[in-house]
Amino acid sequence: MESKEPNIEEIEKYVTGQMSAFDAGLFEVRMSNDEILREQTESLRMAIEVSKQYRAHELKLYIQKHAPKEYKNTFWQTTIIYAVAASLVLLSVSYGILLYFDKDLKQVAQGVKLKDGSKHDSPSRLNRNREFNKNEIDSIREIDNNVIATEKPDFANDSMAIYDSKAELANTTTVSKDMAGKMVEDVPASVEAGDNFKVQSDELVLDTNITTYFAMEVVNLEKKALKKKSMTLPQQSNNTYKGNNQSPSSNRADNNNESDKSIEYKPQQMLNVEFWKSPVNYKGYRYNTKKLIVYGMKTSDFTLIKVKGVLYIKSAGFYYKIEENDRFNNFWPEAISPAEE
Amino acid sequence: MQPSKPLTDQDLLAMMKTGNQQALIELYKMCYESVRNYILKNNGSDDDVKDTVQDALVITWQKSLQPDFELTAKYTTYIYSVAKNLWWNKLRKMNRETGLDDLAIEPSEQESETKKIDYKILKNCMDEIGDTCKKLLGYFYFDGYNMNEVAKLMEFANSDTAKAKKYQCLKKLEVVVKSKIRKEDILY
Repeated sequence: MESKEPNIEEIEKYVTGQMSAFDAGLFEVRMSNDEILREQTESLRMAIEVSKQYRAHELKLYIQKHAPKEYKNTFWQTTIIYAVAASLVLLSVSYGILLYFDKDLKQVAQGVKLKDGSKHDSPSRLNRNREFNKNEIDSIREIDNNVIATEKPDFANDSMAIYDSKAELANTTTVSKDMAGKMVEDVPASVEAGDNFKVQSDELVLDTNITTYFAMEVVNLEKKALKKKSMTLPQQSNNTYKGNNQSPSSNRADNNNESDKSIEYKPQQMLNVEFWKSPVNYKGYRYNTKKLIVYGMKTSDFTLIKVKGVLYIKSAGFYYKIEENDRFNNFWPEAISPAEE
Repeated sequence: MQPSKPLTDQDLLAMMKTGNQQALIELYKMCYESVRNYILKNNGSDDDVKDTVQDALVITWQKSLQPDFELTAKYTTYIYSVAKNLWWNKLRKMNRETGLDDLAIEPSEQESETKKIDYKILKNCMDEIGDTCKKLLGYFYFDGYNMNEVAKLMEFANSDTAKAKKYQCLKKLEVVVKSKIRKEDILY
C-alpha cells in the first residue's frame, strides 16, 4: 500500500531526527506499509551516514596532518623552555667572556699591576698600559743608563711583571751592566727616593730574552748607485754592527736576487736600536731621532737601510718602512724592495 | 621563534563557527599532554592517545557547532572529559578495568552505536560525487551548519542554491551508496 509519493525532505527530517514524535510515528506507520518508502529511507540514511563518517574522517586526517608529531608544549611550557634555553645561552656566553678575560686576569694576578690600580682589564688596554710603562722605562733609562732591565718576562705564565710601588721595591733587585759590560744583579739595601721603577731579578730570563742595545749601521742607498752595477760591501766594525754580520747586499745575494747585487751600501750613522720581546708577542716599533725600539723581530736577521731619507728594516726578506713618530707602530711589509723603486 | 599569544576559548569557538579547522590544532596542543597522561596511566599506548585525542576533538568540533552549544567549562576540561570517556568505553569494550570516576557525558559522546565504515569504502563513495558535494554534505550533516552558513562557506549565491545543491548531492550519493555499500556494512 502506498499512501502518497515519498518526499525526500520528509525522509530526511525523519532520518536526521528533526521530525516530531507524533509525525515520526505516522511516518513509521507509512513505512511499514510502503516498501519503496522504507527502502528510500534506508538508502537516504546510509547516504547521510556515509557523508557524516567521511567528514569525521576528514577532520581526523586534518588533525593528523597538522598536529605536532610528538609531544607539543603549551604556551607556558614553551615560554619556560625558551627562558631556560636563553638562560643557558647567557650562562655560556658569560662563561666564555670570563674565560676570554681570564688571560688578562692571570697576568694581573701574577704580577702586572696597572697604573690605575684596576685588577681587570681588556687586552688592548693592558697593552696600552704596557706601552706606557715602556715609555717610562725610556725616561728612567735616560736618567740612569746603567739600568738596562726594567721588565721581568715571566715565560712560564706568558706574562710580564712590572712593579712600580715602593712597597714592592724592598723585595726587588736591579740588574745592571758593569764596566766590562756583564750583567750584575744588585740587591738594593734600601729604596731610594725617585727610584720608582725596578725589576725583580731573574738572570736567566734576562740573558735569553731581553736584548741589550744594538747599534745598527744605516746606509744611504743612492739610486744612481744602482746604475753602477758594482757592489761594495761596507766595512764591518765590531763596535758598530752587532746585529747582523752580513751586509744588506750579502743578504740579497743569499736570496739570489740579482738586482740587489748592484746596490751599494755605505755606512751613514749610528742608531740606537733596542730589541724587545713581548710576552704577548707584540710586533712593532717606535722610532724617534734618538732611538729605534723594535718588538718581535729576530736580531740575527736585521738590517737597517735608508733610502731617500726614509728608514727601512729588512728582515726575513721583507722590507718594513719605519716612520718617525712618538708612538708604537705595527710592521707593514712593503710590496717591493725600496731600493728597486 | 617567538611563542604565539594563547587563544582564548571564545577565540577558538569563533574559529570553529567560521569553519576554521586550525582551532582543532590549537586545541590539540592544549589538551594533548593531559589526555596523554591519563591514557598512559590507564593501560594505553601513545597510539591510543593520538586516536582518542583526535576522536575527542572531532566530537568537540561537532558539538561546538550546534546552535544550542554553550561552553560551561574550559575547552581543555571539556576535551579531557570527552577523551576520558572515549577511553573508558574503549577499555570497557576490551574488558579492561579502570578506576574511572563518573563524569556527566552525554550518551552520544559515550557510545557510538553506529558501525564505522571502512575509510576506503567511504572515500570510494564520496570521490564519485565530487568535492563540492563532499564538502556540502559534510558541512550540513556532520558539522550542522544551516543553509545560510553552508551557502557562505561554499560561496553559493544564497541558501536556496545551497539547498537545491544539497538535495542534488544527496541523490547522487544515495545512488552511489546503494551500489557500493551493503546494508550490513552500517549498523544502527
